[in-house]
Amino acid sequence: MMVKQPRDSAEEFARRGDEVYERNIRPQVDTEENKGKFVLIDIETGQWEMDADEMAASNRMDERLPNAQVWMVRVGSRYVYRIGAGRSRRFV
Amino acid sequence: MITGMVNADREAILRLVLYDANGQPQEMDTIVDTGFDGKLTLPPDVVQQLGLPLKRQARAVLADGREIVTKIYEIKILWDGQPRLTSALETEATPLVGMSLMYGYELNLPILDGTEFTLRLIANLPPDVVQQLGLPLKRQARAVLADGREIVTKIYEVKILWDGQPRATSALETEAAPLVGMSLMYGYELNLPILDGTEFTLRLIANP
Repeated sequence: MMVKQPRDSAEEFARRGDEVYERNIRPQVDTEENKGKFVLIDIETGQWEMDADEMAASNRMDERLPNAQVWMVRVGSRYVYRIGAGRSRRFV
Repeated sequence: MITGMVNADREAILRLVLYDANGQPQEMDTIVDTGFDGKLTLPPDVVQQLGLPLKRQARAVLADGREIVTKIYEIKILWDGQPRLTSALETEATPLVGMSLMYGYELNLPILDGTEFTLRLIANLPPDVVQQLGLPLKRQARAVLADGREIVTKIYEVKILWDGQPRATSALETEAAPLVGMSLMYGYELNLPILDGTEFTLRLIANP
């Protein structure tokens, strides 16, 4: 099985991913109905998939772009995961 | 049903079977963490040893408010006796099992040293469908079928769009094709010409 390696450092990867999301995707998807959905973005091509089910979006992305460099966000939230209950999630 | 054990360090330990990239099983002790809203975390050495494929990266927030960028790998695990494809965050911590892996299960966790705890499936839809729709199980009830047989059916709360308006209603779980029944249509007039390719209408005649 081929193992993808990210070409950028984590912070650079996040910066590029956030930039694509904020500029091209968020204006289309940031609606009440989509709050909490997962958005997977190929930071190289800007192609993206959105789904309430993370694995479903992942499978579609794999079919489209097997070698995608994927940054994931959730609509309405700055982060995807909370590790430890330090902050309650609130989608805005 | 899945069982685990609370240890003397007050950790709820779940022994999981993880499969490596070649499909070889390997046991791993994980901690049940209801403060983690994802599925699974694994330390870097385990990720490397299993040869997991990197799928994506995402931001996570820690208990002290710090944010990290974390790598997400695809992994096959044994869950409740069934193989399940899921995802794992790479973190330096002890492996954690989070709320999204346990979704649709009831965690019964007596908090005392050396006690056994259980995870029991409460929703019978395929886990992906339950997760996708996120339907809460509300109650169960008896129903009678056309041939007189009785079944016990689970009832979920679901929001639908009805006549252009969102409506909270309930859905019975059955193996059949989805059906719309009289109680959903109550207060409407059904005008149904029975011919191939004809349109039929439901028109509001009274406020339910």
